[in-house]
Parts: sequence; C-alpha cells; structure tokens
Amino acid sequence: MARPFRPEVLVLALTLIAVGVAWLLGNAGRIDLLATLRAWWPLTLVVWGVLELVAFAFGRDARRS
Amino acid sequence: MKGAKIGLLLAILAFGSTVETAWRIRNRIGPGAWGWFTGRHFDGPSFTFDAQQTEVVAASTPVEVENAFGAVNVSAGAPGEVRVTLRKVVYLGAQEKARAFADRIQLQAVREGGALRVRTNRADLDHRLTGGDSEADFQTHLDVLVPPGTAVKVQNEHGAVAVTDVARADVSASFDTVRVERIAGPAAIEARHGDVHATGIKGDLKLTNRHGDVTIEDVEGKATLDVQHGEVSATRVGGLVVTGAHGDVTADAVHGDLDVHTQHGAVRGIDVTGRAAVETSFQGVTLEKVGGDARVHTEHGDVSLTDVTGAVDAQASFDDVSLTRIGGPVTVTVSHGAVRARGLEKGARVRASGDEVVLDGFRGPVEIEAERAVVRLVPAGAIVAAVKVTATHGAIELDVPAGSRIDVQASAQSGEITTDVPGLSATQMSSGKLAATLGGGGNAVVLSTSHGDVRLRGAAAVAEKAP
Repeated sequence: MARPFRPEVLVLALTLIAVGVAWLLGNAGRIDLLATLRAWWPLTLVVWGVLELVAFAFGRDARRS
Repeated sequence: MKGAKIGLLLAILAFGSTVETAWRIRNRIGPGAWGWFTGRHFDGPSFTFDAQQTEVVAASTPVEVENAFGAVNVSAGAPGEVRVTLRKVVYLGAQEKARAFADRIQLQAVREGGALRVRTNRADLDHRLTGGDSEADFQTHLDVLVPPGTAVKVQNEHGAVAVTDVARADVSASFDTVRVERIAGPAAIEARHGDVHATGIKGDLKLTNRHGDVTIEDVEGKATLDVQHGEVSATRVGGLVVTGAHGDVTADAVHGDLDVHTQHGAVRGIDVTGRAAVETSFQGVTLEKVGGDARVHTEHGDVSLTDVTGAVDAQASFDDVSLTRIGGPVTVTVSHGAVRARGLEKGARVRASGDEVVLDGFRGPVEIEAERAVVRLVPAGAIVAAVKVTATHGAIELDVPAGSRIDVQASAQSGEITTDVPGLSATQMSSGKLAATLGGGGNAVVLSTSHGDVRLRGAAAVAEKAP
C-alpha cells in the first residue's frame, strides 16, 4: 500500500536542502547568507501552501474514485 | 491540523523571525563579527593605526614589497633611504581591542639577495590564509618612499597598487586597480580582477590581466599585452602586441608595428607607423593611417581599412570589407559579404561571395572571383593592366576610360553583353561572347559571368553617370 502524500515532509526536506546549500555558498564566499535567507525564507510558506493544495486535489480525486 | 504540521509551521515562522531579527541587527550595528555568517569581510566598525619605519640603503638597492588585503603605494622619496608608512585598519567593535590587535601587526624590512624586502607579519596573524579563523579582519596599507632610480617589485593580493617615478617596475596584484606611472625603464605587470593603468613607461611594457580593463599611454618601448575579459586602450606606444579574448582593442598612435590576436572583440587602430596584423572574431576591425602593410582576418565581422601605405591582405566573413586609399597591392577574401573599395593604387585580387564587389578608382591589375555577386569596376584612369573577372549569378560592369589599351574577352552565359565604348573594335561577336580590341590592345580584359550580363561603358557613359 502506497504511503499517503504528506506535504510537510516534502517541505521539511526541501527547506533543509535549501538552507544547507545556502549555508555552503555563504561559507564559500559566493553569497551573503543572511541577505539570501532573509529574501527567500517566505518561499517556504508558499511552496508548502501549493503542496497542500496539490495534496487536497489528489485526495479529493482519490475519494471520488 | 495535525501536530506535526503545527510544529513545522511554528519552526518555519521562528526561523523567519530569527533571520529578520538578525537582518535588522546587522543593519543597525554593522556586521562586524557577523562576517563569518554573512561571508563578508572588512565591514562594520574599524580603527586605524599608523606605523613608520625608515631604512638606510645603498644607491640602486632594489626594493621588493609584499602585501595582502591593503593598498601599496610606491613613489620616489629622498636619496639613501626607504621610508615605509604602514596604515593598519582593524575591524573590531572596541577601540582598545583593535589597538591591542594592531600592536601585533608588525612591519618587516629585511635585506635578502641584495634587495630590501618590505612586508608585514600578516601570515602570523591571519590564519584564514592557512584555512583557519582569524581573530579580526584587518587591512595593511603600505606607503613606500624609495630613493630616485630604484627598481621596484610589488606583489599584492586583494589590494590596489600604485607605483610612480621609479627606475623599473615589476607588479603583481589582484582584485583591485594597478596604476604604474612615470617609469624610467621597463615595466612588467601581472594583474587579475582589476583594471590596469600604465602611463609614461620609458622602456618596454609587458602586461597580463584577467578580468579587467587595460589603459596604457606614452609607452616609448614595445608594449606586449595579454588581456582576457577586458578592454584594451593604448595611446602613443612604440609598438603594440595584444593577445586576448572577450574585449575590444583600441590603439591610437602606434610608433611601430601593431599585432593583435584576439577573439570576440572589436579592434580599432589609428595612426600606425609600421605594419598592422589583426586577427579577431565576431567583431569588426577598423584601421586608419597604417604606414606599412595591413593583414586583417576576422570571422563574423566587418573590415574597414583607410589610408594604408603598403599592401593589404583582408579576410572576412558574414560582413563587408571596405577599403579606402590603399597604396599597395590588395588581396581580399570575403564570404557572405560585400567588398567596396575606393582608391586602390596597385590593383587587387578579390574573392567574394554573397554580395557586391565595387572597386572605384583603382589602378593596376585586377583579378576577381565572385559568387552570387554583382561586380562593378571603375578605373581611376586608362586601363593599362590586366583585368580578369569571373562571376556566377551576377552581372559585371566595367568602365573603360579613354586612352585604355585593352584586348577584351567577354562571355555571359544566360545573359547579354552590351558595350558603348567609343573605338572598341569587335573581332568576334556571337551570342553571349565578345572579343574586341581598344587602343591597339596589350592588356587582357577577361570578363566572364554565368547567369548575368556584361556591360562595358565608355567615357561618355561614365561622364553621364558621374555627377
């Protein structure tokens, strides 16, 4: 039986990857880490919201069928 | 809503709040010790402290300066001594801490190999150089006064360099501007990530730069430049050799030869007393007033040559070649472009395709091979040399001034031959072919085209056309 789609798990994973990559680039001197995090952290909420909508739509289709 | 979601939401909001707070704090007090977090250095509060040292040296003792993270200025001072001023800029939040740290930054002047070497003990303090952390960011700016006539060598990382009024200069620098002025002998400059200005060099100049523009002026010797990703501007130089890519090259008043081998850059040379050899791509070449021969090769760019005393060898593609007042013989090869020339004194050999070939006011022998091109030839005077034109898919027009002595062989496949030259005596005339003589003959005029017409125009017709 397939696991149910859980957006929060995906959000957590993507956030960890994004913060890790940003931190790495900051340590390498390629970006200003604080400015980057400050500019992009709200994107986490946006991505999470989109994933919740996708999960809701797929869940409704599954219930109909 | 599940507990996990609420927990994650709170974690994200807490993370965002922390970032926003840190941002506000940094903007209010400056980053200072936040450098490790932001990846930026030399920001925030700083304090400056000076130190001086004077070394007595024998005449003509070379001086070598090593530095990092700070500017180096070297200029002429009093005879017999080297005076060094070290300006230490320490980035710490408290002045006493900064002073204590600055006291540990020492100026070192040691004699090695007959030279006086000036440097700091940064290597002992800045552990970032060896992969560790540093207690504080700091800059070391060196002002060095050397005796007149001193040979100077400067090696600097992450800082500007200025060297003026010395016997010779050897500079290596990065991440800032290099300025070398009034050097009595040769100069050598190696730079990265910064602009370079060299002015008033009495000897030869050798210069290498990556990712920065180069400006040189008044170089009495030969200038040899290797410049990648930067523009080159040279004015009043005694010979110029440029090797590079991704940047335009402009040379004005070259008292010698001009050699440019570049890619992805336009080349413009004005007033070159010697010969000019230029090779580039994806941009055009413009040369004006060349005292010797000119050899130009560009791919995907145009060529414009004006007032060349010697011979011209020009190759271009996907754009036009324009020649004006050329004193020597001309050889031009163009694909997918036109050839337009005025004032060729010693004839031309032209291979062209894709656009017209127009020679206006030429003297001497002419040989032209043209594909998909109309050929128009207007001699400067009576034709007294051979003219040979072979064209496909294009017409040929030749003006024949009075006094010409020619034997004409013309053929036009799938076209017509027309002539209105007074005195032209046809010896053979058939469909698409003409053999004729003018002025007793003596110079072969061979005009052959397929899918086009041939027209010979006499002086009267020429006069009607000319304004």
